[in-house]
Amino acid sequence: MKTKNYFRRLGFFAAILFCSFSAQADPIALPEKSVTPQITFLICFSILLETACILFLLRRFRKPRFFILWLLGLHLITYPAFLGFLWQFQDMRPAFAAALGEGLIVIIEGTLIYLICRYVQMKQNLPRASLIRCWLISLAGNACSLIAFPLLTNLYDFISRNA
Amino acid sequence: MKLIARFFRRPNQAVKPRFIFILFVVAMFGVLAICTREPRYHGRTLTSWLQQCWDTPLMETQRLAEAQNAVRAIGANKALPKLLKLVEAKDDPVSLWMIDTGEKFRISDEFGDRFLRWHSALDFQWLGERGFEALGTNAAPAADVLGKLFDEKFPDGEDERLHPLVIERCLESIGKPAEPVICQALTNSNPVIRQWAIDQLASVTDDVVVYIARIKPSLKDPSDTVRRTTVDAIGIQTSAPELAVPILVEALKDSSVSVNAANALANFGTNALVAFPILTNLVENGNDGTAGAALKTLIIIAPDRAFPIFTNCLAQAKPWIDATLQALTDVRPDKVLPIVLARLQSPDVAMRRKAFGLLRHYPETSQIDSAMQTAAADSDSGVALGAKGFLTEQYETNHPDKFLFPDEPSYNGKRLGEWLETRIEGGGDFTPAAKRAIHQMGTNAIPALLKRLTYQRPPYCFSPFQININAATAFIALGEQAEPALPELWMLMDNTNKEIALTAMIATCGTGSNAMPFLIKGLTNPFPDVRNEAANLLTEGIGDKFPEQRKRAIPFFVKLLNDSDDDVRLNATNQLKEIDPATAVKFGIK
Repeated sequence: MKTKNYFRRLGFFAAILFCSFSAQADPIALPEKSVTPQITFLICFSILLETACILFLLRRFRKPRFFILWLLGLHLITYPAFLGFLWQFQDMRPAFAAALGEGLIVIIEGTLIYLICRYVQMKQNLPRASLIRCWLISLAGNACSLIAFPLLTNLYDFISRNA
Repeated sequence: MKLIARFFRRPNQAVKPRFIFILFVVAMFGVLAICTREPRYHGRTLTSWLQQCWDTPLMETQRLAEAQNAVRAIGANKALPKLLKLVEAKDDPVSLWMIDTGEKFRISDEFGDRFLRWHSALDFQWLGERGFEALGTNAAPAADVLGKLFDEKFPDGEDERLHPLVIERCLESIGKPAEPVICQALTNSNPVIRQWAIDQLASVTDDVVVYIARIKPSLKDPSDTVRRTTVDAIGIQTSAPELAVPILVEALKDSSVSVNAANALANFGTNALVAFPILTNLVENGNDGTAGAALKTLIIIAPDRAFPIFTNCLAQAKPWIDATLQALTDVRPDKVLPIVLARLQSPDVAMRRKAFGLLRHYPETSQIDSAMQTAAADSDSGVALGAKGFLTEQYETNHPDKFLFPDEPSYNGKRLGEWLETRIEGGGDFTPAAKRAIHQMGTNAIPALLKRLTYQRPPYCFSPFQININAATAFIALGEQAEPALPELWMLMDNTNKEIALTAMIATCGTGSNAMPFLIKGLTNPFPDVRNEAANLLTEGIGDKFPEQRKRAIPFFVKLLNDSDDDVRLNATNQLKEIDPATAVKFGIK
């Protein structure tokens, strides 16, 4: 009987998750240009730039193998977290909300880098990076991608106009 | 970059930056704590209550009252600092860029329909204003600060022009306690604010004498618009004619405000007779605007004395005479009627249209009726349609709908027509009792319903939509009992009257799969409205229940992609995408 209830509950949640009320809408097809390629380009380049910056700054410290993959994977946590912060702070001025969100991400990301460098097994004779250093590196990486974002936007617009 | 790299190569020298960074982290959390600290009520922040005030439509009184009560419960002491911050909000380039980019990438908007809802400075200002509206006079301590905001320079940006408006609305909400601030605003450097102060002062000044004395200096204002506002404001002080009329007579000499002054004098009726000579002079010598306004006022304050002046101007075919004709129709309709009827025969279309506009306000007489029938045959479609509508309305008044179909079946002592009007509150579906009655009448109701469906109101065969559509919905309520009517409805779909063709198609929707051929036929109807409705019903209405039969409609949908009507094409595109995505892709719809 318990199993039955369990499945019923699951069914209820599935119904909520996959309900198709939106399919009842009356869409009007407007010739809108898709923004997905531009967003993908911007996010990928910003993350790559940030990763490159962190790798460069941590090159003389002990770090695990495939560190670049660790850093890229890290963004699976920090990027949604950043969006979550923006959502949470959306009642503030946008510039202020973004600055605050970035600040918190710097702290989270720095802490995660520190944990990766400290607890993942590695055989190197290099010194370990301290927590504060990791925060600073994260700050530099995020600043780099933040500054690059508007430049990349303009670059993409320029390329798409002239392509 | 080299400096940063060098710094990281020498770990021991990084003590100072570390402290700076710890300071940064602490400051970060400090700022977070300060920024998210806000007065709360029932666990929700003041901003979220203000947002509820802003988002709630005025009709949702309960939700609006809940938010306003919450702001009041927070109290003026706690809420005012935050409200003033909101009202003082200013845009910065980074925020503007973020709002712009967010909209461009479709991740944010100003309505809350997307993931993020960024607020521009103007949004924050309006949120603040909602707080002032809720607090009312309790927000009085903030009046002086708001007054000081008036002294700021407002740039020419579109949003910035609205900033003074927000401050004005806040002061209006404060009301009487804001009186000194509003008085000060009379001398503000911005003419828009001076204009507002002139109007707003009237609602916070109890004595009309004091009010006129306060705004009288504004008649010498360098701005024309401010002077006009002053004249208009004095012009509505009809309780103090002894003060207002001399000021207005004096204002007639100022060519920038003479039209306003002349119009305003009309509000004082016979108390403005003292202005008769000067107004007569303006009719003779003033420019078109002033002369028209002056004559209109003369007609209102002394119609009989002004009539010869009017006929004289009419003879001279003054271009502004139409406005005065309207005024004269209001005070002496009998005197004007011959003029109106004569103008209805004019070769000038614009003149005929204006005359028709005046004629339709006259009470029904045989003379008006005959003039209307002539107008119904006018070469101008606007006049002709208006006259036909007027005569149809008259016919409707003389022949009430309930007597139009005398041979209808009845159920439980109520006739079919009465059951068709029995709807669920809010104008929705039939009530269960009405549905039962229609079912009980069954096939007996079909002849009467067909009569109603095809009824056109004499004398010009206008389709009374409510009667026609009520019959169609009754057919739907009959369900499969309506099947005997299908051959007749099939023929009616070929009717040259659009409404009949449309309602005949809709009427079949209760007959299940039998309706499908009708809807498919509707896709090739000559009227775009019928084609559109057929496409809608096939996609989301009855067609959804019979997907196999609907497949027969796909070639017709494909043809509609090249329809001559834009709306039909757009609708067909969307509907085809919905019912057959594969075919839609084949025809280039993504």
